[in-house]
Amino acid sequence: VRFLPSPSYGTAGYPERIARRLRALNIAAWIASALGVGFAVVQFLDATPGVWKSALSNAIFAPIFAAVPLLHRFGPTAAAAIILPVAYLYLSIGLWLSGTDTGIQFYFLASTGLTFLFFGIERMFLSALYAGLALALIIFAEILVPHDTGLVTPAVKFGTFLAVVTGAILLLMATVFFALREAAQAEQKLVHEKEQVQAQSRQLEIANKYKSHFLASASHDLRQPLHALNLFVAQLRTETSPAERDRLTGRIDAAVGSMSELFESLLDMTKLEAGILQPSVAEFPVSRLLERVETTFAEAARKKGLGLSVVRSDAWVASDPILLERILLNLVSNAVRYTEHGGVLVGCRCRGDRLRIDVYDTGPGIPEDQQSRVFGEYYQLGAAEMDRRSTTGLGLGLAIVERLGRLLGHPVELRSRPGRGSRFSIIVPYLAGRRDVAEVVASPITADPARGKLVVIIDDDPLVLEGMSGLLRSWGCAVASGDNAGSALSKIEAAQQQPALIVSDYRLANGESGIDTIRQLRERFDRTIPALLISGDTAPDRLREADQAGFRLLHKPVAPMRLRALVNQLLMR
Amino acid sequence: LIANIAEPRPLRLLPEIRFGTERYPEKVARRLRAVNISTWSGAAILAWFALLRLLDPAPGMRTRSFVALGFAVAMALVPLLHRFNSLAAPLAFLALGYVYLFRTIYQHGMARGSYLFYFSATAFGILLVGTEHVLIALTLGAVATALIIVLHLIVPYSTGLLPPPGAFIVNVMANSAILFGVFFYAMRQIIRSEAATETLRVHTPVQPMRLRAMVNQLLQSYERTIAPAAE
Repeated sequence: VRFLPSPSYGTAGYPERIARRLRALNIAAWIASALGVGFAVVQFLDATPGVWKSALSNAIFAPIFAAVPLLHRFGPTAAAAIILPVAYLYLSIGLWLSGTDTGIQFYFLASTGLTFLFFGIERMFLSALYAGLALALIIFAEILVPHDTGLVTPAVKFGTFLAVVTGAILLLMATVFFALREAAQAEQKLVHEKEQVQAQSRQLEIANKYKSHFLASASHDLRQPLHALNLFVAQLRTETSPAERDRLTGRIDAAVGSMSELFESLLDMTKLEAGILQPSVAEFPVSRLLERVETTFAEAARKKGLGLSVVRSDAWVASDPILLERILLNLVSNAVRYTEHGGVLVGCRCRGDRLRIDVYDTGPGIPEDQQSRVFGEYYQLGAAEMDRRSTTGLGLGLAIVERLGRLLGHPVELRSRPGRGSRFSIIVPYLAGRRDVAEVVASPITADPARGKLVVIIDDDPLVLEGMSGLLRSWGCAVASGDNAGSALSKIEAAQQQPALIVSDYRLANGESGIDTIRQLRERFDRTIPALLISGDTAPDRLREADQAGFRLLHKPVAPMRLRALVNQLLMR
Repeated sequence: LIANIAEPRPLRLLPEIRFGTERYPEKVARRLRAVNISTWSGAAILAWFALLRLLDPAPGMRTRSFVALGFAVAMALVPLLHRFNSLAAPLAFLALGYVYLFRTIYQHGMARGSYLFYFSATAFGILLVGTEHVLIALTLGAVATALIIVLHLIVPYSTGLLPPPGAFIVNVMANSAILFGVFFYAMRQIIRSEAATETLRVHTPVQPMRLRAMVNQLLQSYERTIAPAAE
């Protein structure tokens, strides 16, 4: 049960600026109503002849003021437009009964502020009309109404004068305060908006700087292996010695590997952005990761003259082994890349139920003011000063580490001292009781699952179609290829064999989609044939669409070994 | 020095409205500019009254003329107080106004309706001192109320000096003009700020351009151009 009405009554649905004014009007009307009731009661009890007229006036107007909020439903200015003349009438009656010595006419002056407040300068005509009416009433009162009507005693008259002057000044001040405060708030809002725009502008400038550096890096890092590739291919064409051809093929592999690595890091970022990476947590020994780190970077570290020490550990952890490995490889890769002298140390420390995997290096270190920024996308330490010779990577490694860490719930820590080196740590759940339990190793593949199986290849690019067909045939598969579902079907019928796997390009000719083509073939054979998509489109939307349709999506260029692993995996299902 | 001699500064007929306000933030400087305009307008009006009374042969008018002239000079010098702080000049202006008003009403009586200026002066005072000084504003209101009551008690409706015809109406109109000005200023400020905010919103992208979107485009263009070349 509410004893007091809500000031917000009838203001719902109006914009906050209007609602605020209507709330003020509600409060003013209810105060006026309460005062009217009070005066009415006191005056009815007063036996002085003629006072009953004033009591009656108060009794009539008090409920009218109380009902003001009901008028808000007719529009934001309806209540003010109706109640102001009513209030003027009420004041005029009071003035007529008690005389101008009571000072009631001051309320006319004080109310001019209210007219502006309620109608605003958008409705200047109404504001001016009501203000003009109030002023006319002051003048008429001065001319027509006697100073003293004799209805009230001098003491009551003086008391009324005191109350009226104080009330009128307070009303005027409250109105001015309200209006000026609204103006100040509007100005404050403008300042806030300006600050936000400036902050956004600064962000854009920084992003633009990183983008420029990223473009330079990407251009350089992709151009280098591409240039090398051209040279190796030109040499390969004229080379007749098998040994030299092997050497050149190895070099070409290395150049392609370098390009793939760059694309992979960008794709990892895209996948994280698309939110399609789902961690698959398992329990496994951390030694497996450490061995992988050692074998991957031992050669690179040796070539740079760095010492790479990996301290053995028999601890078990609970994490996604693939994603954790990617984090660790990124950290060690960075450490080896940026360290010129000294070495890199990888080790683990138990901290209660957590295991901290540390990667120490004796590299240049990271200044404190840049330590939070190194985990940003496309950020490279000292990017502005970096010249072309020292440009390495795209500045995505630590961004991937940070995002993967967040995805897995493994905090990533950094401690660094410029000139001394850095320590990157990833903190993972530690399984104390699993130390002596042997890891369950997946049973090795005993037979080649691809051999003899019919694989359907769909691609609108004849060169890709030919290359893929040749590769799969070299793995012992039968191949039915085509540039759409129809042509592939005729090849399948000719092969007189049920298809075991469909490999389709994502985007086919004539606006056809690989997803639809796979579905058509599945419907034709009335079974869920394993399928995978290959695409050059790296947009997060493509990844999401393929994921939603339940297909694996590989991005071009696909490494043959990776493709074979996936083909085998799908055929073994 | 030679440049100054060669190009003397032109004589200014009107005082600089920004006088003394330069070192204040724009929000305060705006209020102080209003103080400058008000004091100099008030000084001009009082000087006009001084001249009228000087030309009036009635007894005692010369003294009143000098008093008005003194108030005019004091009002004109009020902007010099900006050097102390942002409140000195507005409060001095209001104090001078209250005192001069009290003296005038005391001499002329209540019939002219000059006491109504205490209402508009209070409203205008809040504008000049700013809503952040609530206590000062309340004090101004209390002083105005007290002065009206005191005048009501001690000053007769008419002191015998006949008011000029229509003086009451002129005073009521002048009061409403001041109140109109105060509220118009506040309302225009609201409208202007809201319009500027809206313009800012319309002309500012909702979200800054995402770098990764550009990277995706780049990747695709690499796929179309460099990757086939590599193959």
